[in-house]
Amino acid sequence: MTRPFSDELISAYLDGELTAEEREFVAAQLRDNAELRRMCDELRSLRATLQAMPVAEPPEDFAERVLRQAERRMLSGDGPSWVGPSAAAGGAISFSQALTRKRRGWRVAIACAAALAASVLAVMWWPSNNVRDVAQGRAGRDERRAENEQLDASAKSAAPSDAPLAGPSTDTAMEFRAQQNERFGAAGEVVGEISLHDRAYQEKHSQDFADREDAPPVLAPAAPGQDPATMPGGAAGYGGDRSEVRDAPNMAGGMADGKGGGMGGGMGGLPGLGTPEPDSSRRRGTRGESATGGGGSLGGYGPQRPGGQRPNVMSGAAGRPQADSSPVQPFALGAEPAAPRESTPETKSEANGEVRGRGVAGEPVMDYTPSKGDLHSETKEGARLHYSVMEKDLQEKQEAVAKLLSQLNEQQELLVKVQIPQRQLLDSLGQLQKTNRVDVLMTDGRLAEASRPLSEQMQPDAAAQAAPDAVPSVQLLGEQLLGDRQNVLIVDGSADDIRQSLVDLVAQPGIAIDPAQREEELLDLQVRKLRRADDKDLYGRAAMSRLRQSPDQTVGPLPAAKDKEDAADLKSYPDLQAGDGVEPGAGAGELAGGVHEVQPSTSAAADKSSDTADQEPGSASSDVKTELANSTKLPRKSDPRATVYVYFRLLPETTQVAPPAQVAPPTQVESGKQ
Amino acid sequence: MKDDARLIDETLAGDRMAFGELVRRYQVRLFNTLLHVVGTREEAEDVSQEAFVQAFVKLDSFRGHSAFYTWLYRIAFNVSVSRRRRKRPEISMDLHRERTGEEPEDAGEAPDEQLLREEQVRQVRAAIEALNEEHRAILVLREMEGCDYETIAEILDMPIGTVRSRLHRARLQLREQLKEMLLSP
Repeated sequence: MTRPFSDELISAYLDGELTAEEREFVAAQLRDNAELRRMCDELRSLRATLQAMPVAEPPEDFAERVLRQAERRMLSGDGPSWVGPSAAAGGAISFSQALTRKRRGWRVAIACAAALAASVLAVMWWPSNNVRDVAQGRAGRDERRAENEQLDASAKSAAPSDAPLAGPSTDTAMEFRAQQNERFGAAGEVVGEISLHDRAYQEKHSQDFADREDAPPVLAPAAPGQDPATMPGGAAGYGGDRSEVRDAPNMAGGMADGKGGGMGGGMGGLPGLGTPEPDSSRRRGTRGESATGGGGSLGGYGPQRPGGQRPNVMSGAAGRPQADSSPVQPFALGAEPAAPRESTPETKSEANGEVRGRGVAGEPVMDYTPSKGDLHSETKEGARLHYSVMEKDLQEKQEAVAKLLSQLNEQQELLVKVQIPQRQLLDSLGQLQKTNRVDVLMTDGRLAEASRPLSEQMQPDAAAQAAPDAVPSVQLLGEQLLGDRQNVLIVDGSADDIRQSLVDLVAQPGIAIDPAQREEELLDLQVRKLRRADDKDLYGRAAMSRLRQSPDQTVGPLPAAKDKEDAADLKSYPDLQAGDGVEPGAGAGELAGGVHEVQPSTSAAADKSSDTADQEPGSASSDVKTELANSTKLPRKSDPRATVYVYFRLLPETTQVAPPAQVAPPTQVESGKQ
Repeated sequence: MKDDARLIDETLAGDRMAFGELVRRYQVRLFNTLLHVVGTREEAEDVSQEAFVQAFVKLDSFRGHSAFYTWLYRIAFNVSVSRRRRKRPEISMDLHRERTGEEPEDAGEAPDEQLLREEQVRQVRAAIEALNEEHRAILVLREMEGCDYETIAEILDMPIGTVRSRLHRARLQLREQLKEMLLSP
């Protein structure tokens, strides 16, 4: 064989990448050509040199970092499309399965919806990766609230949407999405990726969907020729942008256990999918019901709250006057204490129903029949599913974030108690400030800050001057947070930024976010009172100084309790009355009315509607005080964890509201980001 | 020890710890490869971490036709390329300066236990760095990872013929770079 000799043959020869024939050819060349031989030697030596390079190691915790980052992706909606049985809603239920379940009751439907939503719905119908652009229909807050009234504890799977993919019922889908957007606006974006559902819409259209003939029996199973890489495992025909696929799991993820059927609503858009029975839906739609149903843990705040139930800060009550007539959106999670538990395994199992093994992409599992309580299932390929501790953690985290976001969506504000290991306190909070473009205001216990609207805070006034460091540096943050202070951070941001902040907070190791603690209630109470006070500045100063618990602070006058409940509340929260080192009687002389913290007995006669004031006054007050003191988990220097209350406030949207019920192209949506 | 396929199946089934094992299995190799390709330790960490995370996210799309690490490497190289594009303004010289000034902590011994002197290492690294990205990648994959042409072709998404010719050119280039270093004391 004759062929022009090319130098590169030498390389290939060295690499053993030649055929026998070629090898021989080169060998012959080498024999005859000294220069070629030299080149060969040099290249060999080069290789030896390169191979002699020392091996560097990645950081020790590299693998953990990777897993953590992967978890964050899932939490923030960029999770994997295959979505295991984890929090990502194990979105592996085939569409057909979901369809057949539509008559089985809304809870089941919701479970399916959850699973489906994650992997299928968003994928098929919201293929766009312009999640942020969706903010269509950003209704004003009030409008949104009004709409929220009709919503039940269901999570809203407001997957921000774009043009639907080749999905069936395009019109319906678009209409649904438009409504979602309109309903949730920025919040919709926020929660969209965490799988909240529009219950009302689902209700409205459940029958429609159920009866639609063109409802696809199976979510476009992957055509054989489709690129598996773009198919979420097991999910049906996904042809859209892959980035959206990742949103899906997270959507369902947050609501994976479908507590209270949160998922059902969002799936309403899918023909016949997860359609809750209108009856049950409606039943759960009433505020009273849900409140009664235990939804109070998240939403039952306000006049409607069931007797004896504590005002729940998490319900966004923080700062909301008692008299606020805006309906409290009962939140799905935990709306029915029993229900979530019940549906959880269902959801999980159902979600698991179609967990795919590799290569299943696009093929819906048709033969899976989840059974209640069945935590394991087999995929078509026979892979067994099982849970790991991390799965559970992640699921809980996602649920936590979903809950919180729903609250935020509804109430435009959110107060959470965060416990952060002290060593990472600065980092965690600095992160909050730096990367999420949120404004973090440090109150250092000065809840007056929290009570004042953002606009007011921008203008210096008497109260503000008492809090000159309202916008602290991270350094100051750290100094103030480390210590025995009940610290409140005010975080103002857009929906997305707050969402990301929550995700970041929740995803951090060792961090605990607790939405329903007595401490929160305390704060809630304080904030509520502050907002309610006629003379905010006056009250603010008073509260401020008290809370600061500084001996040399002047205790300002405390306005009289406005009502009996208020009085009782005051009495039962000694922290409000007299902080450590604060002379309780300092402001006594200026007090009007019979309520004064130092004289609990005065208000003892007051109605004990407060949940903690269910004891005899007088003697009881000290017990309450002790009890509260013991239970209050104020950060102490010896406490390895710092407790921070983070008060999230949604910045006012600046985008326009899209016309309701309009089948609008996604492009019309304006991003609601600040 | 479980093979890659088993770990992948387990991951897809929900066991994220299985993926952790996969990561640990390949982290050193990937990190090292990337270190030579991207130049700095920090970037190598970022790219490899991102590569693993992306692998995790797309895990269901891995068809098993190639080795897992081939697929992983491909992701990693894509990541490094796109990151590089975003950081365009950075000149090679700066990287060079940055790198020579910052030596990675070398924790292990060379594969053949024949350690180069620190200075040599520096020189070789500088020489590698002086190559263009493509040459660098192909060279590292071949010489340090020991990938065959077919694997390289898959990782770098190029025809095998191209692999061969570019590899050779890369070698020649590196040889030129190092000649002075090798020849001079």
